[in-house]
Amino acid sequence: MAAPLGEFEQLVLVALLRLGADAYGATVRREIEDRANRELSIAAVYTTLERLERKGFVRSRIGEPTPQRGGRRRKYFDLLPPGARALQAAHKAYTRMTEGLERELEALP
Amino acid sequence: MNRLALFLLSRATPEADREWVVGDTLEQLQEIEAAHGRAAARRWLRRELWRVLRDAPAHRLVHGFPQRRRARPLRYFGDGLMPRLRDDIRYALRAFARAPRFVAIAVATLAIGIGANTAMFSVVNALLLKSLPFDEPDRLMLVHVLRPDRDGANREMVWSYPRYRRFAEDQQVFEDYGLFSGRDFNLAGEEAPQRVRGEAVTDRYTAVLGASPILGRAFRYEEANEVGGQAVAMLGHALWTKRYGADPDIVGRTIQVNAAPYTVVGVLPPGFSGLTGNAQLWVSLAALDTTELAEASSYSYSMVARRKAGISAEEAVANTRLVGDRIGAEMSEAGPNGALLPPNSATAVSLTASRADVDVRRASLVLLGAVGFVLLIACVNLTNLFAARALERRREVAIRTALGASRGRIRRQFLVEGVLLAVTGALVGVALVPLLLAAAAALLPDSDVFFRGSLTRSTGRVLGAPGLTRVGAGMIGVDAATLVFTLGITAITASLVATVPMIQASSTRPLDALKAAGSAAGSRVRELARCAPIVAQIALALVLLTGAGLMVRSAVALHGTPIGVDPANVLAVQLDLPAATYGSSPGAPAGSAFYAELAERVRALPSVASAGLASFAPVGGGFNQTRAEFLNPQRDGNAVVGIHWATPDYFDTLGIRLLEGRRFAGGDRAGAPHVLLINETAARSLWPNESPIGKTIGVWQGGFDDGAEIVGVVADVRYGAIETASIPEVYLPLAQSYRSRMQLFVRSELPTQALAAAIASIVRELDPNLPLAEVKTMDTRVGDAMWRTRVGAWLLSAFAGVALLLTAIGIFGVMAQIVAQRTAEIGIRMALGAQARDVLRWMLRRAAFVTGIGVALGVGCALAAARVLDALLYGVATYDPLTFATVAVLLGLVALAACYWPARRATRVDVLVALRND
Repeated sequence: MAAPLGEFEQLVLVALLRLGADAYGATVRREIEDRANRELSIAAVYTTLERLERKGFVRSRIGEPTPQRGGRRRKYFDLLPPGARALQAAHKAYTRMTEGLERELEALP
Repeated sequence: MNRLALFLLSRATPEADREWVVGDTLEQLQEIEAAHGRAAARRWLRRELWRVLRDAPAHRLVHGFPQRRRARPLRYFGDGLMPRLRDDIRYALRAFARAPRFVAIAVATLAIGIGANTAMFSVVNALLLKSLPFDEPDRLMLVHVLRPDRDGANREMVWSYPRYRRFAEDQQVFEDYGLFSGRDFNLAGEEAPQRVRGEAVTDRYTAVLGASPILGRAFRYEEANEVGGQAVAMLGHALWTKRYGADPDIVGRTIQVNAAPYTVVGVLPPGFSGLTGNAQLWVSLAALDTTELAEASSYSYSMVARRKAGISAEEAVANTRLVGDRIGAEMSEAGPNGALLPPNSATAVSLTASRADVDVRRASLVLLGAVGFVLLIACVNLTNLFAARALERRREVAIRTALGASRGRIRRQFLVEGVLLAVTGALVGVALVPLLLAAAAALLPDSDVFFRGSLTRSTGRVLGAPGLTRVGAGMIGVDAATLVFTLGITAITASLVATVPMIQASSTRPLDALKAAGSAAGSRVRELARCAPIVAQIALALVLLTGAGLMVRSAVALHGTPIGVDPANVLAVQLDLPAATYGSSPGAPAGSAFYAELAERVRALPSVASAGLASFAPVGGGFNQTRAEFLNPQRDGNAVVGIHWATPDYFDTLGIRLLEGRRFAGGDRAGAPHVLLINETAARSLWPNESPIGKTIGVWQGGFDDGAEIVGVVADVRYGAIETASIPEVYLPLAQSYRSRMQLFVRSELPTQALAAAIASIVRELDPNLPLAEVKTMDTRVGDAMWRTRVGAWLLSAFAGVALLLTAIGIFGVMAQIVAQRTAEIGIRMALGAQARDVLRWMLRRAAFVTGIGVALGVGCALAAARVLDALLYGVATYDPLTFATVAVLLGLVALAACYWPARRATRVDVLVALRND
């Protein structure tokens, strides 16, 4: 099994899971910004996606050019089974670690 | 704005992801614009750009380095030099265009610093370094007679003609030699009479120096060296063109020199003005000084000689000494009392080495050092300026780094900027040099006393060629050596100025720089390092200020030195009666009558209070010396005395007090018993504890060796330099001992111009062929006599003033920087309850600490440096505590004042703003 996922990698993978077929740089970034309330750059998103692709967790495909992007194409990302498994493992580890602590975690200052 | 941001953003993104990154950004930008408006979209894009730049290195890393960078040679001096250099220069120019004030300050500072250094170097170069404008000047030597003094020391002296002949025939080391003597000539003829500087020379003089006539020929042996030699003359190029309109048929024409006819045989090349530096007329020595040719004891001529090839200077000196000893023994001299004088010898010194006397050499080097200090201080300031600018440009540097510029590239960029500024400054500075030299010339007296060697040091060294420095002064100008010097200091300046920003730039980490600006609160160590230049500046400025202070005090002391005369409202005019018309000394009724008539008529002019004649002007630097023996009462031995000729009214005209006895009177005329006046020093040193009145002494000049009675004692007058105390002096009445060259002194309330014109018209009535020379007020002469000290004081003060200003600016700048960077710290302190007063005290304490170190260091350096100045000082101790203390306090106050304003700003820091910044 590959090295455990970093936190930002987890966030990106969750975003891919949620977005399904519509996952590309801008949507992934908005998803993380809105839900995790995290300030990040588009460069950081692509840096992470590139790293995940090299690990074999995601796969990219190039879309068609669109006019509102000035004729530029999108690069879509799909979650691959190894990526899904890694995400699942990370989530399991997290929930097991926090099991029964939900109220205490909420109550932390 | 958006387009630029998008462009930067796309450049910051690795090429592999560029398309989608830009596309995504555009998409989001449009969404935000639709939802929140244009301004919000623009703000978002700007923040996004910073974020992308911040993340760019990581993004690039994940894709690997771009191929382009590996393909291109990284070294500057590879095949890509010119295009890269061009890029750097273009970039630098663009950066300069954005900061015109910075560029203006930097260029102006450098121009003044480099210009002043270049000007000073061109002076030093001409006086000390550049080879003299003669053929193979290294083989030229001045040969002097060595005369043992009473105290056993040897004195360098000029030659008499018979001794010179003997020496020239006996020596084996010189291949060619000549005699010369600087003279002033009355040149008359068809044109108006004119006073011309020239030289009486022997036949080989011009050949020794390597000057061959451009027209006609040089003197022949029988013309210039033998009794009864023909009266021939050579003209300088300037005289030939100005007075004779470059007449090609001038050779063979007859001109009137000192009222005697001379035939022009040649014209010398342009630029040649002899060893005395401003000669324009050369006459055959034998024709001018007919009687001197046979007198072995008439020492009047300087000797220049050219060493044989292969003979070293030491060998030449040794042989000169040997031959000189032999001749001295053979041609022994007896005084008028019959006692044999100790034998003479001879010595030789290199012409190049004797071009500037010790004081001029020292003064010019001191000034060069001082102006170098100024440049150093300017460099420190510019370094600070550059460092501050580099700090401001951290973001720019970070962006360039993020965009793929290597650190080397950034460093090179700063170097190119430093070099560009230094070169621009140097160009402007060199353009300034002629102006600076012209301004400096205004400080110097006219050519009459310009760089005249000091004749009056107690050693009594008679310079072999007084005015030789004038040859050097004539060579002042920007030449190749000066330009090389300028290039050198420019290179040093550029590297000094560019180094600090280069180091800073290369240590800038893009991530840090892109975080909130200006939060780089430097560590204490770094702050101390920032203060090091201030310490150096303060120390350097203190050294300069001390030097200036000492010179100014010398000038003041000089100004306050009583010279024995009242110079106000006195005009002095020089006259030289030609022997052909008026006869020669000591008895010449025609000459005496002329001077008596002249004084009478001038005195009769309205508003002339009095008029008198004397042989030498006070503080003029030159006077004759001779020996006096004691005849009645008879006493062994003799004394060296200064000898002067004067009319009775001279003493009143100049306000010279009578201390004892009487002045000259109308009865002291030719035929009456000879009488003398002596000065106070003579009275005190030669007749201690008794009155000299009524004593009889013999004076070995002016026909007074048979003895004359002392009738009065007058106050001391400083005839040499102001700095030099009077020696024992005697005055001979002009009526009893005629002298052809005299100074007319006129006390009058009339303006100088009007008075000079009135005197000139009287002289014209008496003799239309007689020119006036050196028409100057006594005040001017006193000013001229102080030129060396005055120029030193002026220039050093100017340099020190500039240094002080630059130092103050430097301190101000650095303190302002420190305050700006410590804003947060100050805010915290104030938030914790510190009062404005406490902050001010805290800031000033550190300023005082830095200043204290600088002053202490500076005083140490100044103490060491003052030793160099020692010989140039007058009337002030080298380690004058008052000067040192004043300068230290002054500098301390200026430094604290420069700190005060930034410190005050620190107290007005708004706590909230200061803290939000972090």
